Amino acid sequence: MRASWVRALWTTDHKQVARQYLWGGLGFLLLGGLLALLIRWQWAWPGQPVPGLAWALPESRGALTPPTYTVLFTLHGLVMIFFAVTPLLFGALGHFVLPLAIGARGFAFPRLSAAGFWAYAVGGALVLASFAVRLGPASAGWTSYPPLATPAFTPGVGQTLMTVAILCVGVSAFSYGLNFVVTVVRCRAPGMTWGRMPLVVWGLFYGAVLNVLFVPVLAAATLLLLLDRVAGTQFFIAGAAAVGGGGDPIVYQHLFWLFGHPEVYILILPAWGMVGDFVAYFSRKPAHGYRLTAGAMGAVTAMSGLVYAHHLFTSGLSPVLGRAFMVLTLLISLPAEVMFLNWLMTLWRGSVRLTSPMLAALATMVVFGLGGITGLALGAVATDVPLHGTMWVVGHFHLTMGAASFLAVFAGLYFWFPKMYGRALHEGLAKAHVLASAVLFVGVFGGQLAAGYAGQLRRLYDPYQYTYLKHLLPLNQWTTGCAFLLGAAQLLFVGNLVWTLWRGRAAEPNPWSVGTLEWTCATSPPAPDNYATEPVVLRGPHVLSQPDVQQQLGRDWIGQAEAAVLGGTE
Amino acid sequence: MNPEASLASSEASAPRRAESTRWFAGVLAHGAGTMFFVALAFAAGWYRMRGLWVLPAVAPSVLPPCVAGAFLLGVGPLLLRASRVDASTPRRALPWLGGALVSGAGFLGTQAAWLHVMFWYRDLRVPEGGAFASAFYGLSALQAVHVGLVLLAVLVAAVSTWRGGDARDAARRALAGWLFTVATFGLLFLAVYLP
Repeated sequence: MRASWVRALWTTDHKQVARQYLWGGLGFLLLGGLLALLIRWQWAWPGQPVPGLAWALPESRGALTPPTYTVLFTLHGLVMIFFAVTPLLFGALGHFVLPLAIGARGFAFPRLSAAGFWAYAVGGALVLASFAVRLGPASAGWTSYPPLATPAFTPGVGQTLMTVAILCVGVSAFSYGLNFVVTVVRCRAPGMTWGRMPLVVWGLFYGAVLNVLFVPVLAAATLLLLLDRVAGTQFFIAGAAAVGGGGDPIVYQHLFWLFGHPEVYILILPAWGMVGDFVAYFSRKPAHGYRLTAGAMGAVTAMSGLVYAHHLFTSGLSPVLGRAFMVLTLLISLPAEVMFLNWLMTLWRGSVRLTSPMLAALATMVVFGLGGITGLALGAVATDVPLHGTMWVVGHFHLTMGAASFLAVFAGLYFWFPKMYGRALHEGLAKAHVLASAVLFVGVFGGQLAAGYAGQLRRLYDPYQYTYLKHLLPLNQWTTGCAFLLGAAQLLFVGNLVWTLWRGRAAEPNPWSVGTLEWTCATSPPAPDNYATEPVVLRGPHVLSQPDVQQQLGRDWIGQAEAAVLGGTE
Repeated sequence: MNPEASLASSEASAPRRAESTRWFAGVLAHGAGTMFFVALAFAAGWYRMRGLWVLPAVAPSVLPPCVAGAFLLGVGPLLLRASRVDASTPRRALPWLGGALVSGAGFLGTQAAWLHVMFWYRDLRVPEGGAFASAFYGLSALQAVHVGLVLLAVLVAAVSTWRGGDARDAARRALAGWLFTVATFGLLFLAVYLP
């Protein structure tokens, strides 16, 4: 018989795997956040010692040197995207919610879930190990663009370890992507038709499809890069460093963004699904245009691989291709607007309840809207050329991929935490955390947009060495202040989490008064096989405030599998 | 319909349903693997079109990959035959599975011998050979790894049959893997081996 610690670590219960991802993701979120604060410090007080960092950087007495700064922004991006936000959305929330929400007893391939987590864990361990190797961790930017990421420019083992780590998280993402798609297609409970699935399941499903399709492209690019680093191949090495003619680093950029742009949608699709569900649940109304919203998410998914080259407008792309990708990029915003309008219509004249998940969902809408609007300028060639490589880009993608995904993670976490751990978080602290985070996100990334519009290039060690950027110092200091406050605001969540796990009150069976399967048919936390008996689904997830339900049951919601004689509640 | 009979029928169909789920997952995984090779072929095509594809003085002949391809093509019908043996005599699948293993090994052997000759006797080296040599060795090795994985699955099926198990479903899944390796070998042939 296996030891208990082996059973705990090698668990195939999707809920336990979700908890493992949750703790791993939160740990890396903390690391990525601390790295971001150090970057912000450098932009506010360039070259000044960081208080308390002298032990780590004794030679500079705690000040960030250019090589250290390069490592910081490289690791911040890589850690946040590959090791924090994606694992939190798919690994933690997706693993926990998806089987429960479709009435399945688990994933189609439970061992694949466990293996995926351990691939992620090995990747994470490699990232941490890279701090201890000679020449330090990776420093070629989060995109690992060659030739900078080839041994000619980053010869240290740290960059190689990071390359392998990305392959590991690729294996992890592919494994849960495959598992999610197969589970949704093959393992839904009786009666759980496609039209009765919660929108979050749609979001996770589409995101998983993109994972299955495009993570292999990232794997191809990363594997070729790894071969260049360890086997002496010449796929991406060019110019003076090349032997025998060399290859072409631009190929990597194409492959990377063919994955990278769908990755934006991989991160946002589950968030959109959550927003769609939560605005319905907490407006006490059926989701307006449910089919249109699900269809719009599908349209974005279908188009997501067709817009990637807007990242390459300034790479020497043919003008004809540039125009084509510009049109496609602007077109993809249309289904997103359809979704946005449906959310607004759901809210319209609803009995809005400003719970913490609802506040987080509304905040996600706001920051995503801001990020989307500022992205239009980057989708059009004429405006992208002057803005490319500036802090405008940084502000835009942090609003969409960072703030929107982060707030969606917390919307989901506040909503499902009672189900996950059987304990209720403090609602007041949760609301304060969401509100403070949302306002400060706009402060930080709004500041970045303003700096970028003024011409500040991204990744500059000391922007003020340029005369035309000197006047941006107060703006950057203000933005840094917002960033530090944002970091401090996370203590509200940490305190709430620790207190709740230690002394929190037991969660109510259905604290949000919704009818989805996980809240109406499963205990909190759910049993190992989720449901005592397999639920038979009778209706959709948003049957709220229906007069016949209220008349018959005396409440404004009904469970998806609840037997009742009702008319017209589909 | 009698509910008990319906329950019994659903229990009887559970293994078939599980097998269909595995089959669906296998097809998805192979589709994803094809995306991986399409990305690699995109890179090779890029080098060709951008004039970075400098062939060595003695360009590799297409004969060896054609021979290897013939071995690879031979695996499919053998696996198909193995997947269709009568359920009452599962051991009859063994010769077909063995044949598939031999044919697959012939593919890997031919490819290995060809790469060996190119490296040691035609001096096509990495990195001196530039993008062509990198693609030639790198992509051939990656494709061979996938063929190796499919052959491993066939070997497992063969051992299971040897022990008296029914490996027809495993052979059917390996058949999907074979289709995938043929598709990727076709991509490799077009993108890299054709002069």
